[in-house]
Amino acid sequence: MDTLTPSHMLEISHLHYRYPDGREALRDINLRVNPGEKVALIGANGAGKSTLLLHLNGILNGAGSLRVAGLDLSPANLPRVRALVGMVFQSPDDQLFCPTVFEDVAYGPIYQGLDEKEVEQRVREALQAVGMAEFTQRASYHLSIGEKKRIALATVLSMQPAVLALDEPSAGLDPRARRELLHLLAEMPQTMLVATHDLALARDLLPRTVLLYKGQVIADGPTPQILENEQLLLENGL
Amino acid sequence: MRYSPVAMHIPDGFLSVLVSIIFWIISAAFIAVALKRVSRDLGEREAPLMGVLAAAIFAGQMLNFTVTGGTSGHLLGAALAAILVGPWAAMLVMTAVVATQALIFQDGGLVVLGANLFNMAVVGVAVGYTVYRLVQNLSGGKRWGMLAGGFLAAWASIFIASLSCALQLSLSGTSPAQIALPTMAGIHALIGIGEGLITFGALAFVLGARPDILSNAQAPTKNSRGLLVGGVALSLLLAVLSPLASSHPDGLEWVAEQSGFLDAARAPWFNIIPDYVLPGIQNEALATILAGVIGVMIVLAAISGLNLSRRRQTVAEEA
Amino acid sequence: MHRLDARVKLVLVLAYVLTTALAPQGAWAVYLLLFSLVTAAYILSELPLKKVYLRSLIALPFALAALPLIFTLPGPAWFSLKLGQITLTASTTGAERAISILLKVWLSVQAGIFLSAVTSRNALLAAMRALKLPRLLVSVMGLMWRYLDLMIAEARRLLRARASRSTSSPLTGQRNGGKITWRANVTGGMAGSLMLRSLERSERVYQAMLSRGYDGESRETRHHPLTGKDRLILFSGLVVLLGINLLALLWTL
Repeated sequence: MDTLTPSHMLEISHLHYRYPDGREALRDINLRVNPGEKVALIGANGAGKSTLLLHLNGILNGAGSLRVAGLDLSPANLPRVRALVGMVFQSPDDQLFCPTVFEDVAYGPIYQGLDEKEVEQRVREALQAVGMAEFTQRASYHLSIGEKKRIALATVLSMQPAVLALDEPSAGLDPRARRELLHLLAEMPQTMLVATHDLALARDLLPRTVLLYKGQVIADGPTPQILENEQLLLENGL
Repeated sequence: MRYSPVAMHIPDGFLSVLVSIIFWIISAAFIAVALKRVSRDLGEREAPLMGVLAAAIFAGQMLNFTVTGGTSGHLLGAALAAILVGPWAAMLVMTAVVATQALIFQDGGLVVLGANLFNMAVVGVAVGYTVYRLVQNLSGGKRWGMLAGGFLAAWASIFIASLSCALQLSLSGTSPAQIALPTMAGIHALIGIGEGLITFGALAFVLGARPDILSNAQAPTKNSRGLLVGGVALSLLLAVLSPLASSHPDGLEWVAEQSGFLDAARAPWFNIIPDYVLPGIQNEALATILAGVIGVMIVLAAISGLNLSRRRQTVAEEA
Repeated sequence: MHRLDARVKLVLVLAYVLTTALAPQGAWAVYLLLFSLVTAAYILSELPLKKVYLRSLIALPFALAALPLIFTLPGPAWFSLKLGQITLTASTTGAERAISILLKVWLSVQAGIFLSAVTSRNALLAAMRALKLPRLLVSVMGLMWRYLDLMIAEARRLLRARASRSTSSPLTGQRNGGKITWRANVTGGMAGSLMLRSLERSERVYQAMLSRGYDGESRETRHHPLTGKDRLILFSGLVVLLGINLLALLWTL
């Protein structure tokens, strides 16, 4: 239906969100992300990083405007948007709910109604992309956290999303697993929005950084510039 | 917030006080036995195990799958609990779940809690466990047996529990048996399929990740008590099903009966109070059901009573 | 009201619900009295009435199951409905019975809401223990309540993760969702994951309890004796309910 290619992949204008108990979580968020851009979302706990991410695929609904690849998040568009935005949550255990790795990665394609051959291909490609092709028949329950995080990534890759929204991808990983994850992400072409405490991850992988504090965008610019500004970081909870 | 959508939590006001009290007594008896047995079998780790599992079952009832546009299927969990931790612990787990739903979330009444506990925590668990064991024995403990057993156990637990629910409603005069039984049975035969599928999926997951848990649960701590529970379940099953089969007329006849009977309502001699002075078939059905249930209860009560008095001696000695 | 001893509240609410259950059908005066009683309780506790009434609608779906009684209970005919071939005749007794049940359900639910609104979970547990409920059962419920919010949060996250992957593709359009049996199966996997995690968590909980000196017996905190005010309210509450019961008895005579 959209014949025009949108210039922005993500367009967020004047986004407000209030928790059910009344607390303000996001205040007047404005953000434009171009296709292929890799953006870090940093901020103290409670700054609103995860909350913002959850808006990207419509799990939370704030006031204001949010468009993904030109689509707004109306109920009719939601299934398509969710295929466009691959959301990887913080805890892999909440995302790996099938008995085998294959079934978990296959959930997305199967739900989309793809036929068997197509599903198998998608699963193969996704697992290959995260370097876990031999794990198809394993039970995800027993894997190490690094392996689980990669499988969780594969579960969204199998839907061939245009955007990856990652919540604390390196949390809980030992240095080696972290490095492996970094390599993986570096090679992925998708637009990325990564909420993270891991400032080194931002520095090594994500050229642009957005700093959130108490639900507001405090700074938005090239990563080196923001990370070097210690004063700015200290003032805003980091 | 409503978490449990399985249509079996009877609210206060639907059952007569007499029926409520009867089922309170029955449920209390079963729970007392469960408490004794669990203390003996599981040892010290019983409370954390059951408590956390109860929380998981409660939360698990929130997990749903879409059936059609508006409706969704959910889990009750009685059979699953019985398969994971055995019948007596599961009875306590479901008691905690159902009681919490009534006390904190007003899902199910307080006076009728005894009846709800009977349906979900006693019958649900007992039937689920019995069917699972049966299929296990038939399949020789193979993997397909566990999964198929889980499915059937879950279906049966929902179906039989709904019959028990219908029985309570008709005994109270809230809903005549000829409406309650077919309606509950029909609806829950379908809902039971959802429960069966979810239980199947849950067992598949557990088998893939921690097969030892299921094989531990197999370890027969069962003795005559286990068989008795199974027997109770089966007799309940039979007691309810046979009159149902004999008394349920086919569709058209039923409708005719309805209109004929309702016109008779205009006749002045028709009595208001005895709601179930209905066509003869009705009373026979109820009488049979009652007899079956009471008979089995008496036997169980006698054995429990014997056990209880033996325990009382040891408890007195420890005190 | 919030500070009243939980035992008193629990007993009074149970007595109230019992009284409601005992009230005969059509005893409108009795229902009115019961309604004023529970409303008074709400007012004294400064609970927001609108929220309470909204919450009491929770019982509505099941309560509607009482409606067929209008047509099935024999009694003086009231009105008739023609649905195709079938004529349904409503009786006044049937209507009375159905409405009585609806009112009873509503009143009982309100009492239940009252109890959970003014009593903390811990107080409720202590009350249950004080009222001689079996120790094991009370500790199971205590642990359950302790982990309930956590488990519910996990269930929510599972649902969110699944929703995030329940998508449509331009390749297949509306033909999505997969087979219903597959969906149910996946839900089962989610449940299984939840159960498994809870079983393993309970191991850790047990170990934590052991390291704090748990030996299978939960020590009870000493129970405070009921204050004079508690006793007064308990007594007067029971007396009022007894009075209502007697009134209800008169109604049937």
